Amino acid sequence: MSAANPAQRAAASPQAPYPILELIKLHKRFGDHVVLEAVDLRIEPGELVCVIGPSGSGKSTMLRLCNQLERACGGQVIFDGQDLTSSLVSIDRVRRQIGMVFQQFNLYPHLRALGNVTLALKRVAGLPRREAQAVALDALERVGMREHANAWPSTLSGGQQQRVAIARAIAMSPKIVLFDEPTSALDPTLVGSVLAVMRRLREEGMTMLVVTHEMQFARAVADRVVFMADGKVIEQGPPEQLFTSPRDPRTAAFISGESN
Amino acid sequence: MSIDRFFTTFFDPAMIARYWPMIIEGMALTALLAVAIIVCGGVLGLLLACLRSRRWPAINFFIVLFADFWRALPPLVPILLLYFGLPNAGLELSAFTVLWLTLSLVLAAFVEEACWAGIRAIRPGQWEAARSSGMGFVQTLCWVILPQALRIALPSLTNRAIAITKMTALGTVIGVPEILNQASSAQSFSGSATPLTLGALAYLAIFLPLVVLSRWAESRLAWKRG
Repeated sequence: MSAANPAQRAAASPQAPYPILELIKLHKRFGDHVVLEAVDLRIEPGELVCVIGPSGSGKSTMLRLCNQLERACGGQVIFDGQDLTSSLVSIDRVRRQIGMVFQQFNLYPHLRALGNVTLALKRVAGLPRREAQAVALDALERVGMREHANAWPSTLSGGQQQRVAIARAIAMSPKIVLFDEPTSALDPTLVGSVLAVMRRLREEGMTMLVVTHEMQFARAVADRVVFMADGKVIEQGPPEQLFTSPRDPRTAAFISGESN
Repeated sequence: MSIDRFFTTFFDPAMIARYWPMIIEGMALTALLAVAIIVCGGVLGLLLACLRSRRWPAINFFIVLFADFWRALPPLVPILLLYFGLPNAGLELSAFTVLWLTLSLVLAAFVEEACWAGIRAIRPGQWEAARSSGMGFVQTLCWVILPQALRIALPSLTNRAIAITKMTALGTVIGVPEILNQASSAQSFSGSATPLTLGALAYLAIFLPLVVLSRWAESRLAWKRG
């Protein structure tokens, strides 16, 4: 029983710092195709970690395993001291503490921006309508979308939709927010507004795990950058170190390819 | 054929005066049947579609079997079978019950298919967004999926509801005193076609507002999509 037991550590001393999210020897296959192989990753509270890597490297799958949108074939996902791969964990209760932002925004088209944010506040957190609206308006304010609270998603630009989606995620006061390529579906001109919101969240101390192709954002804002290829974590470290003096040739090749 | 003959055949005032109360009785029964069929068939069909979205293979096999069976069979066949066959097996259902039950099951089959098509048309990202916010399966279905799926399904739902409630006219064959039965009885008593004209007007009085209402609902509920 070694490092694989943060649950026990947490129980022994609940105040002690421990990673908010820890992936241990995570395996995932789709049929015969191995997507993730023995992935280990630790996210400390308040950290912003960017995951980069070529398409098909398993980054998105790894992110979706963090809130169990995908089920692992082996290994553990420890969130806040609980092993999410255990059948004893009520996954709905855990997910309310893990925000998720998707590449395609996935706003609810039948609800206005405000309704998108209040839905989980009302149905999951159980807030009364007025209180839910107050919390939602505050979240929309934080992403600069308060004046669009009554807009239908289809009338908003991609960048605006993504900011509403971020408001929807942070309104629940999650302990971590997962971002799955949040700017990949956006016009280049709209990327900046979404990244600016993410920078602000980072300054507010939000813990974030971001799968991204935005190398400049990762380099400028991340506390740590993780490079993945072929379903494995190849290397990780502070952005300056990883971008200027990568240890693995695959990292170097990827970084020089992306910056061209 | 003179215009006079035409009018005394189809619009004989004496016949209208004598038989309109019978037609009104038939209308009341047809309207009651229509409501009962739409409510029962609609609820059952919707529940089956929701159950199917859980994707339990064994249960889905039976749901598909149910839907295909009732969609394939001409409704008159089970109506006759149940009404004339069941008493021999020791179970006697009233003509009203047989008609209501059969048409409710037929409507449920079509409603299930329409709702399921609507549910399947919703992108998986909607499920993922709702589930990842901590909503359970049923909550996601109620608050995110169905509001979108039902709007997609609405045109086929209203078309089916109207098409199948109109089939209450099949009740004539087993003696349910609905509009057509009342009208054709009156026609054989009197030898006049006027009661049938009244019957036709009675159907229009019930179903034309329904058709208009469904058109209004479709345009009303169409929301802007990105």
